[in-house]
Amino acid sequence: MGQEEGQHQEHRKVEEAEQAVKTRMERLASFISSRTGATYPLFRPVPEFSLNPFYWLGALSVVAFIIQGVTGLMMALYYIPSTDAAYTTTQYIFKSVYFGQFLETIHLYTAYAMIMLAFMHMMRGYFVSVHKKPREIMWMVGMVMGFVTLGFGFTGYLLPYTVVSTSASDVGIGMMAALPTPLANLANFLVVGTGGTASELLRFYDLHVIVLPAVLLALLAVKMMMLETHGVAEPVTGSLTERLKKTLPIFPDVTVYLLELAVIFGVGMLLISALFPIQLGPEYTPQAAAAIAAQPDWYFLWLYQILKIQIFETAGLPVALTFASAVFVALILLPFIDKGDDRRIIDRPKFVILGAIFIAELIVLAAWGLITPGQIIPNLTAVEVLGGTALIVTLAMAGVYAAVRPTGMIAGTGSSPSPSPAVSGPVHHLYQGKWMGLGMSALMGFGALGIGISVDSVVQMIEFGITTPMLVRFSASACLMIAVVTCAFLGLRWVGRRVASHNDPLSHEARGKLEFN
Amino acid sequence: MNSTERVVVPLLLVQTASVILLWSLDTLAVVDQKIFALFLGADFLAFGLMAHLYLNMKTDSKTSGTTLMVWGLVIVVLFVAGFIVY
Repeated sequence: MGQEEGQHQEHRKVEEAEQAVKTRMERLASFISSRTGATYPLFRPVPEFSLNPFYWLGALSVVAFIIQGVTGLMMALYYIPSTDAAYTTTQYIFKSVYFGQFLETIHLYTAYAMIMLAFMHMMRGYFVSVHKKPREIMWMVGMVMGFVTLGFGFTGYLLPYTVVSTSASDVGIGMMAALPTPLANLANFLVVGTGGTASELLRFYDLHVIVLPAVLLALLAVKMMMLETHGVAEPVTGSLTERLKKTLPIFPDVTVYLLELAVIFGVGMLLISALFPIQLGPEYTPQAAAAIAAQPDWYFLWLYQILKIQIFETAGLPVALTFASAVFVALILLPFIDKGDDRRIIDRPKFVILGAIFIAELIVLAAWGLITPGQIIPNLTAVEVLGGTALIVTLAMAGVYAAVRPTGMIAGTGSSPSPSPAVSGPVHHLYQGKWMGLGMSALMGFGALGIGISVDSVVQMIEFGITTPMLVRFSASACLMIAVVTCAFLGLRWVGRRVASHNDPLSHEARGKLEFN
Repeated sequence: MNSTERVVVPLLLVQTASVILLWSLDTLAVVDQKIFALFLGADFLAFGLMAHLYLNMKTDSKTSGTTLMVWGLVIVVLFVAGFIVY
């Protein structure tokens, strides 16, 4: 008995000691929390439906920015932004600094990823209408952040001072002269100054490592503040289940989710860097620069290709820049252009098709720019390629909409679909024929191809005279168009019959019974 | 610990091993920079999988066997590739 009593007392003592430690730890935690505000809920809880990578493209772009900051800071320990030392110090980083080449490679590829992620974030927002009430200003701030991101690319490209980077930057600086005088003067003051190449390099460096990061961080803070006010935009399709409406605390749950995405992104960057390490190009000299065709990095290739179109050469440069600026301004002011209540993709065919054309044109221009360095593009070719792309995308998308868009008749409601405010709106009964939709869009694509080839053939025949191969080409494309029209006609007739039978109060079954009786 | 949570043990081992190996590299050699990327990649993915398991537990979602297998396979591939280059 006595022994048992002793054991009990010993056990109690251990428990009390543990309790005292716990209390002390808790007291310490409470002290730190109260003095630093560490546990103050800085960010609102996040709904479970947003645990989806598409909601975090912007956050991943910030992750890329952080990686840029860390790797950039390491490189800044060795880099000297002067015309004499820029190339040699970059070379030193590549050859003599621990993990130098790896740092340079990661810095470059993460910059590419940051631009791509920012673009994807913007286009996703465009398609799912995040720019609509009450997030108009958020959209505009995000757009400015996108331009700042492009600014990082532009200013960073010059810094290694290789022949390619310097020539491409010179093209960009040359373009600034074509801006309206006040803007040209401002741009000149900001990036070139009066000290020639030396001051230009120094200013690019300052913009790259001080001004632009500061501006981006400030804009990020503003955007985060607005995100806290408005919350995450709800998905535009379907209705949310109770489970998905549940919220998760930002720490640790959402932070862990973001870390999960960040490490997957990081692994991607690591592997690409390991597989394709970059090499430093030759140093810039005026002689070496004269021997190459200046070519910007891929994210500016679309603009470069527009400027290479014959009509925009030299005298037409301001027109091209005005056009590109107009696109940017339209994107910034999008919340005031696309104002309707409809948020769903299916209810906004006009803007969705415009968005698809925008993406297709950017891809076509960039790819085209890549394979035609330094070549002037004839006006007619430009009209054919760019017009053809727009036409093909428009017709293909129109085909998709024609096949899947709910109409009163197809929905079986007898009325046109009402606007759908976010998630709470009526759920449309979509026409279920997905294969029919795909078939129709394929047909529209082929039709557009037929139109494109026939227009091109006619233009070629007008320009170079009628030749047998061109006639054969024209006939083949005309046959393709006829085949497409026939198939489309038959397909639509079949759909029409199905819809009519679906809408008929006397269904097939009932009609069968009546006939039988 | 259920069977899913038990996965954490080998993941921690992978992380420990990769960190030890990362310190043994010649940081100036280009080939070692590749090895660094591979081991660090395996380390990151192991952490990512733990985060995934944790979140699934918190949200009462089931971790599919296929996800576990594929994720684990990628970690093994990276790790083995690191040793092959090593």
